[in-house]
Amino acid sequence: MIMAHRSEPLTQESEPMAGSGSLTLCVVEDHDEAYHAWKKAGFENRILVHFDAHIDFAWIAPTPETLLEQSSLSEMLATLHRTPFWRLTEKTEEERVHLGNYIHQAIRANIVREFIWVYPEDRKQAKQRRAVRSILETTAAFAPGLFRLTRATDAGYFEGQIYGRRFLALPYSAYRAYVPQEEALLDIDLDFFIIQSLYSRHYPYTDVRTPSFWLSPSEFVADLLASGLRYEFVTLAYSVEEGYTPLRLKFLGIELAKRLLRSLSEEEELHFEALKDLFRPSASGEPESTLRRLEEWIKVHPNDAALRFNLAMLLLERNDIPRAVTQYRKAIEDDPTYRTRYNHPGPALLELGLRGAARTSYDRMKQLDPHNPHYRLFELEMLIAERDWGQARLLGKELLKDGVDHPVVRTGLAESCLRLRRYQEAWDALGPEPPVSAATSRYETGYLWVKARVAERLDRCEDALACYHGLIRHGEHSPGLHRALARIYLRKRNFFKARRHLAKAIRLAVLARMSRWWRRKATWDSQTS
Amino acid sequence: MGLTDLIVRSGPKACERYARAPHVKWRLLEGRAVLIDANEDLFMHLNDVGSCIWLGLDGKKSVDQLISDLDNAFAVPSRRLRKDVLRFLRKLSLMELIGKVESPSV
Repeated sequence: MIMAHRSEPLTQESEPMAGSGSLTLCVVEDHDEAYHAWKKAGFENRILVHFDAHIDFAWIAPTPETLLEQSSLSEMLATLHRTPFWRLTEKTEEERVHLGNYIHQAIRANIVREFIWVYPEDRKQAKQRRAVRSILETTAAFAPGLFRLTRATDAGYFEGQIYGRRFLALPYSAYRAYVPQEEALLDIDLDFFIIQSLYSRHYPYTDVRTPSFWLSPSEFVADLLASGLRYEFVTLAYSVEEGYTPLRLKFLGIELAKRLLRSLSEEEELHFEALKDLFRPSASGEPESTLRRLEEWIKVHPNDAALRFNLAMLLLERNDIPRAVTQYRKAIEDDPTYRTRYNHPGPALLELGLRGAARTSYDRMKQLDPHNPHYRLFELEMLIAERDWGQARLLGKELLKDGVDHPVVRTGLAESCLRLRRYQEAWDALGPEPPVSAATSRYETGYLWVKARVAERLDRCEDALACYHGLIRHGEHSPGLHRALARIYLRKRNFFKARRHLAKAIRLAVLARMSRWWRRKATWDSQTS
Repeated sequence: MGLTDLIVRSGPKACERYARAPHVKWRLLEGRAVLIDANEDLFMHLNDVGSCIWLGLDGKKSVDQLISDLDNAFAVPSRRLRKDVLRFLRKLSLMELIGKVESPSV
């Protein structure tokens, strides 16, 4: 159930292109797999053109070893001062690559020499420009010595330097004016076609309740050819897992992949048009004819999971449950990836804090697939959020019994047992630490917190200390963490450390109050509007 | 556990041996020891004397041997050196950057 990093992309195809070269298209699910594909292909010193609704550049803090590698003490101190993200961890930078920071690692590993981020075009250009500026300034402010912003224009063009390498951010309409002369690495995220407004309250997701797209793959490919951009290696990420691309629109990625490699047959053109028609405003006005057309297409393509899944969703909207169940079952039979946690807007809505809407979405999907472990996991999360510890404990045990071994289950069950003062049961539920991967990193902190609290209750001071230290290595610096450490050191009679942590807890609590009115601002090199 | 135990944490003794904690990453740079404790997000660099003491903390030498080595290397009154070394070791021990070696290594 956990999306661990795959060592191989979903598909990789090479097609001869007009001219001497050939095009390699690498389709991946999570976007960070693009970094592994570039590395495997041995690219160095390239220009990266990144079409995405997200910048995918976040900082990866240096490891202790990286700091100690510096040639002089002054350089080491300089590195420390220009990297305020003070998260020393045993994990290497490579191990900490995920879909939000893989471009950082590509720049650090010298794969990328110049980074061009092409962001979606929006009708409200001023608002979009402000949103992009805010994203860039927030990122740059974390390490002003490493990310310098130098230029911004009213047309939404931003220029800067990351680790001394050129960086550009451009709206889709402007990228043709900045096409590099040399061959570039082309990197596309499917959510670029779907998430249009970066200032939307749903960002970083799209408005998940009404999935639609603002740019079609055919328009994109036509623009790409007209731009004269030279590329031989393309990475295309679906980004369904994590909720950025609604599963119903995954077919756009399939269409794009085909169009990048060759021109489509008339049959294929009609097939993709039929799917795209479902998301045009006119489709909602004629539900009957839309359903009929879709059923006709299914007769022609009986094993097309995209057609069947979209039909199932439309039937579910109309409360035609038996027919929806039939279509859904056939869709997941043809393509089991459609039985993912992200096959409905629930997880994204939950991330956005829209718990009521998320519950509605889960309840609807449960009608189609009542035994889907992902939906039962959500039930557990809801019981914990509602502090129904008794029911949560029962459901957690049931899930473990059914073989659903997920960090959420273990942590949720342990939390419930802890609240019910069943400390030993909580300890047993936690089991060994979950394996580390980019996809599970966000569960690790939750796991460590619960384990530390349970260990404290069981007087396992060293275990609790190891967990709290693990949290520090994950970048946790809350007053609560330092209070807990002070408590443990007090028990260990190390008053020196207890006092230090207590002082840190107080300092952080005061700083947290002050920082409510203060936002870190990036500095610009020139006078910029 | 008595009140004395609760308040006073015993300092290093002359016959004891201390070793650098395994979780502390360190390197000698420009003659000075640079220490990083990832558990506590702690970065520190020691002065010349501190670096010499740090280098001697290999778990083989006793505190007494360490002091006599330093006595030969630095022109400092012996009593003051002993006092400073013991205070420094006590601080390193409290910060859990070093640990007492229970059995003498072979």
